[in-house]
Amino acid sequence: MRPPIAIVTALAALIAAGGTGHAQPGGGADAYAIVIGSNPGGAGQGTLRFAEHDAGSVADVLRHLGDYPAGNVTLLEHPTPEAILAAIDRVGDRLRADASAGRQSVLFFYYSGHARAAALTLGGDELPLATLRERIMALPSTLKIVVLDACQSGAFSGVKGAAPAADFSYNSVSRLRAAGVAVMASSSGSELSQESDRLGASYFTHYLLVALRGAGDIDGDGEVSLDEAYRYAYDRTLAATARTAVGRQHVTLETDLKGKGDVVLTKPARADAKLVLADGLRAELLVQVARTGAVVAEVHKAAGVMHLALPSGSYQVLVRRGAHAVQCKVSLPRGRAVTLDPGPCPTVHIDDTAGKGGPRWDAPRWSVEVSLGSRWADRGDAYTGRLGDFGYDKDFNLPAYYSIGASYRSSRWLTLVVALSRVDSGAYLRDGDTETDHFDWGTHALTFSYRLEQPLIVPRLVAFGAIGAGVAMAHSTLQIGERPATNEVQWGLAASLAAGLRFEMRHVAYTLTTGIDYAPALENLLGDTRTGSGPHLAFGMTFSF
Amino acid sequence: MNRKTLAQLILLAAAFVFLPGYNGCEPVLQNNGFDLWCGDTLCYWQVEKGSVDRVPTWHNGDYGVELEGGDTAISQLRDISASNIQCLRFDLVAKIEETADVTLELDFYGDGTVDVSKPIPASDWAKVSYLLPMPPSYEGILFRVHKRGSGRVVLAQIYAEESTDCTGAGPTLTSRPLGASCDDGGQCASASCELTQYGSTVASCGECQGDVDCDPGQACGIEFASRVLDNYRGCGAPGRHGLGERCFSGDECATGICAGNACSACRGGTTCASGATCARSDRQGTDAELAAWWARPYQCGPDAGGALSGDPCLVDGDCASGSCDGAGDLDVCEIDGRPCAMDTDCPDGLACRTIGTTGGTCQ
Repeated sequence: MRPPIAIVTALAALIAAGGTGHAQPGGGADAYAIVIGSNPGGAGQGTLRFAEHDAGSVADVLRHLGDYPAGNVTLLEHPTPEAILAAIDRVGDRLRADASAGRQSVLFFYYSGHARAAALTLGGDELPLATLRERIMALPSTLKIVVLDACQSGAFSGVKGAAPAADFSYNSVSRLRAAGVAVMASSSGSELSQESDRLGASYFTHYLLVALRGAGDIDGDGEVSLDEAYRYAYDRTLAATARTAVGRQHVTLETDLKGKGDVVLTKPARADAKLVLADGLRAELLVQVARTGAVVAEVHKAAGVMHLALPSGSYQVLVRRGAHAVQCKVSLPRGRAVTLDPGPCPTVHIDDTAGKGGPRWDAPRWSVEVSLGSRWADRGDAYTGRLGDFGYDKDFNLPAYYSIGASYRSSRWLTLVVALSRVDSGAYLRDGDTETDHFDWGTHALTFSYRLEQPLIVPRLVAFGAIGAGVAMAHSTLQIGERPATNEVQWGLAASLAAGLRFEMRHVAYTLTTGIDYAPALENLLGDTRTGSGPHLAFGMTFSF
Repeated sequence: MNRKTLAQLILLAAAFVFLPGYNGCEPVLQNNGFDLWCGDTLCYWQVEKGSVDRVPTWHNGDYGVELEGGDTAISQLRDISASNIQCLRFDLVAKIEETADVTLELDFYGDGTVDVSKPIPASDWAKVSYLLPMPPSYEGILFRVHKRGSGRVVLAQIYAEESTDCTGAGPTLTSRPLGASCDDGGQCASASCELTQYGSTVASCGECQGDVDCDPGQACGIEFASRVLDNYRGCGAPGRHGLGERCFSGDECATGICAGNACSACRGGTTCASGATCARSDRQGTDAELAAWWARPYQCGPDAGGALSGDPCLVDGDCASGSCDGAGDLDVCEIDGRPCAMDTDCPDGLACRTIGTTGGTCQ
């Protein structure tokens, strides 16, 4: 997950607002790219896993599928602020030379990494956004395309008074023209940008790359334009992140473009190796490098022919239609287009593909949950009332509540939980003639619960409610004077209601839960039943793996 | 009265004052949860009629008592008085079926007269409470739960404690039984109020002041009505009390001598036929403990074989022959000296002790 960088979006907004270029991109224009990836975070920020890798992938696609000569693509991994500014200066020199020669030019600026309110965070260093904006805006390119993959990078929509990103439709992008500034951001102003272990990339950059490889070529002209890439990345990122624990992520696009004609980003048709997905193939496809298992494309294939431009090599492709899946091995020789034929491919069980990225669910599935707390209002009932009738008075009893269990997250909203909880306890004593009688009990419940979860606006914070049922076991001990104690074990049904909040980290979550348990296991010979104790409040930890 | 006798009387008076009784701290009723069972017998409670059984109540380990049969009564005599308690609160938890008639009865003085009878309604283990004002004067209460009818009755709790919530006056007891303390004969059913003992300032309702008040051929002597009442002077057969038993005059003693408040074999300080000195035994305890005893008999050389063949004795050591034959153990309450069979026959806190053999004679 990329941490919030609200001001990166502000930067994007300023760039978009300040764009004044009128050059006409397309054939004949010189294309330059500055591609930056930075994994390290600053103080209080975690280390990203895929930012630098994503930058490398973007650079590769621009070199091989775009009109970006290898010498015009500057890839900076884990750079210092000075290195970024120097790269901008170098590109600026070449842009000015182009301008002097009357040539049009395109600048593609990509950044993936951490940022804070007013600066990019580059490990222990920061690059002020104002400085970066000033340098980029000073570049004399005809067209500037800025792509930001960082949290809340779409906040510029609000800056410009636009509607929230969720309403940002294709139609608003269709006005795109060919000169000026376009800024694509990985998420809206209030959202987090997320990385995916399964994809080995950030969601946004992954789907942007898949689009650029050809999946985004909606009109089938062999080229992927900015609006096509945006549409594809928007849809796929939104669909994928809707199933994550953090929540949906809306890709945004702000433009200040003039002229006519699409802004072409890549030309998959020119690739030296292509995987062709035939018109009749309708399935979910997962394309992975055979040797490493790295995911290069996750595609929802609908009607129409799709060309995926890929580096030559061996791939395995999981083709899934509903619950049925086949796994195909495909070799893409240089200069060849190979059409995928799932017919002869062996069937695989979905679970078998899990280790290679099969399941679509990215959030942790199995967890161990522990919690400790207290019952905060002991509830009297007929059972304890009867104890009073028989001369017993309440004795000190620690109203501890604890629970340990396991959970399985079956969907974005639903988690199944099995837990063993201490739901009730009590201690009573009675002063006799010459001795004291003691009666105490403890009730445990083994419950199976359904837990519904709803992410809140605050990042990583999830509200949940749970309802469960199971069995309860009450163990009681009666000690009358010096007589041997009488121990009894009684069983009954159990039910529980709970609600709470969870703050999620990567593999650990902290929960605050309140709930009430109904566990009528303890019963006396007169038919009175102890139905349970009062509500509890517990602090818990969840360990996911 | 010599100085030694005076000192003994002071010690005896002190012992009387500090005799254990109801102290206001312990429960009014003992074994009020019916959890204490002495074998198959309910501890502290006397089964007067019918039979009882130990049964579980709310829990298998918490017992109650079931009153079996159609006419069953259990009772407990407690040594409490009007000076202790003027109002009693009862909390009763029981299973009482509709077809059973159960009453809580109070017999003040424990003289066999039921002075208060309170019906206990049918209940399915619900807690029932009563407030009962006590009479202005009483000594001891016999609490009795009396069941009649075929319905099932199980008592789980009968808790009594002093309360200040009573309104109204308690029952008026018109006359006091034998052994009840009194100030004048008008308070007594017997119309006679006599000092309980020589040297005592305590008087109790009795039957006689001397032999003249008894029928011809009877002797006026020490008698006991119940463990919660003091002794009184009553008429009975002459010589009815053996060596070591409490006495008021020689006529009631088989030995014809009443010395040291006990029927004795000789008078203190005299020399017996065996040449032994007439004295009290110290077999009951140390000097300090002995000083608290009301009655200790004088014997010829007690524990030193000072009694000749045919002389009265308590233990073998009293006899020159080393053999004292009698009709079983002579048991009396410690300090108090009244006859007893077990501790519960004695005033609260006093033990029943064997001090020798009843009607013993040296062989």
